[in-house]
Amino acid sequence: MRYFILTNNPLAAKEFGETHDVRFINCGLRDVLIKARDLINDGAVLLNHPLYGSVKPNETPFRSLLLQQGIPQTGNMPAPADPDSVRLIGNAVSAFEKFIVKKEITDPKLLEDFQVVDLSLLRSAVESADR
Amino acid sequence: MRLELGKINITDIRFAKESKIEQGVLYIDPDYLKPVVLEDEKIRDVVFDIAKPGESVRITPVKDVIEPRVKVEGRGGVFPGWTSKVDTVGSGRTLALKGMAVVTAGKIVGFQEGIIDMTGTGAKYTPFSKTLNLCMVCEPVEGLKQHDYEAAVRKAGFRVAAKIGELARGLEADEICVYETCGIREGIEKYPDLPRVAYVSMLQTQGLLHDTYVYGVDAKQIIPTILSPTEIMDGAVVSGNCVSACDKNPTYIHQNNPVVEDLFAQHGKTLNFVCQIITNENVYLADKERSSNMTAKLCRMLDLDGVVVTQEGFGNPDTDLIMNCKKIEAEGVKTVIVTDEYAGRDGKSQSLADADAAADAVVTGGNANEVVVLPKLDKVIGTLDYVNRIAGASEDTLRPDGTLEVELQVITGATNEMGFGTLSAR
Repeated sequence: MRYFILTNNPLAAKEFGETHDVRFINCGLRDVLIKARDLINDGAVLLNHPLYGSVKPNETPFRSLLLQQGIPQTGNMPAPADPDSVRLIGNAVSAFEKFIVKKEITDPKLLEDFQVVDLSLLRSAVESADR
Repeated sequence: MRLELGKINITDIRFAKESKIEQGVLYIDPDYLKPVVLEDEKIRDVVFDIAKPGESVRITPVKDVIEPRVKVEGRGGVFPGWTSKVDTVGSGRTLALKGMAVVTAGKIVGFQEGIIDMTGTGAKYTPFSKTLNLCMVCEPVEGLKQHDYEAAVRKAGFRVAAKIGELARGLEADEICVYETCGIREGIEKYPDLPRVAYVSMLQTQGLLHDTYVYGVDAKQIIPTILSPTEIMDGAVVSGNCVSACDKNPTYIHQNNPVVEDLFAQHGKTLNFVCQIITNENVYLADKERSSNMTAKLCRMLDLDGVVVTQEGFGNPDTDLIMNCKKIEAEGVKTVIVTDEYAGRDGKSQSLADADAAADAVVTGGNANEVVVLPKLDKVIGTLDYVNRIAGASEDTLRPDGTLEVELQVITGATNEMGFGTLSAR
């Protein structure tokens, strides 16, 4: 299946950069969700869930998403948006905005822990996508 | 399947030169357990400690909680796939050491593990303030990666619990509970007028550090299947999940699943408890669709009238919960779902990340965002180094006077979604 990884996690970019289509963006977690929402509005389909399991979106700065490129329709019309993806990314943005954003994390060890957890969830999704 | 669960009440734990259980007291020589832990070369050292209800003790960061058990009759042994071969368990006789637990602690990933307070405000919220806790703090070898450390501590906990359980072999139980389920036809013939009810248990399976295992298999890889509810009493399902403390299911809660307990209590009276269905909570959307489809199909094929569905964790598993509920209801089977809430500190925000009109019977385990202040306690087992980083804490958690301002999320078992805690709402 052709898909790409949208991520702000440098560890994920390093791990999958040579074997997968990785689109690294240097931004915060909310901006990853907003970027994904824009892509979904243009027809991209979400392959993994945009929310973490049991980590609140205001607690980690990193997120990696798997997206399938939408196929443009005839006459260069963009692909229609996938309703499930629209709903899930909308809920994820709302969930993010529900919580107070904490101070920027600067502790390199803690940043690494968050990168490792995001990477472990990403690996889990990639294993399913590449089966 | 018929299982007799013999309960041996443990009233005290003491360190001693000889390991034994005598008149309800567990005497433990740390040197009896240490080699069991250190047989894994990934663990450099282990320190054992005892925490008792009411003591001014805080255990953190807590990884897993396990009840020592031993199988004395019937097929297999406890924790199949880990400390025993993979025989099908859940029949015969098992002895359980009640009133105590093995608690694994130590830093694995800085923000993940939880807190157990043995006294004060925190003790009210964790079920493990009421158990005598034999704590084991494991130190990894230099440079060990987080997921290898998690696996090492997880497996060491099962080995220690099984080793302690062995001390009960040959002892008389203080109480024996019998749990028995019928075959499909037998159940229909025996209880023709009772509603057929099953329990759908959703297992956290997000990726390394957020996983659950069934007979040694990573549950991410399973498609939903059926268990006799007695199998989990022998440790067929174990936790490898580090997060989040308040609403993950430690192994102890799988072993003592309150939904299973309550359904058995009604079995043959108000309902026919048919089986337990286990399913997963994967990150990949197609996996979520497949697993919820299979779960709904099993409910239909088993001719169920109703199910209780429990969730583990929050966030994307909310989507699995709603998919399960919606699809099972669409098969004509009634559902009650058990979850917890992330409704913000004021409790006014939407509680779940997903919703559907079919979810019209919901039990909550409480609001994980509720803020509490935990007192300074005299002794810490583990370390406070990570207390500002645990999910549910913040950089301001540890206050100058030593008290902790936290969300309930940091407290192990506080909003458990199998209903093991005391919080709810009406």
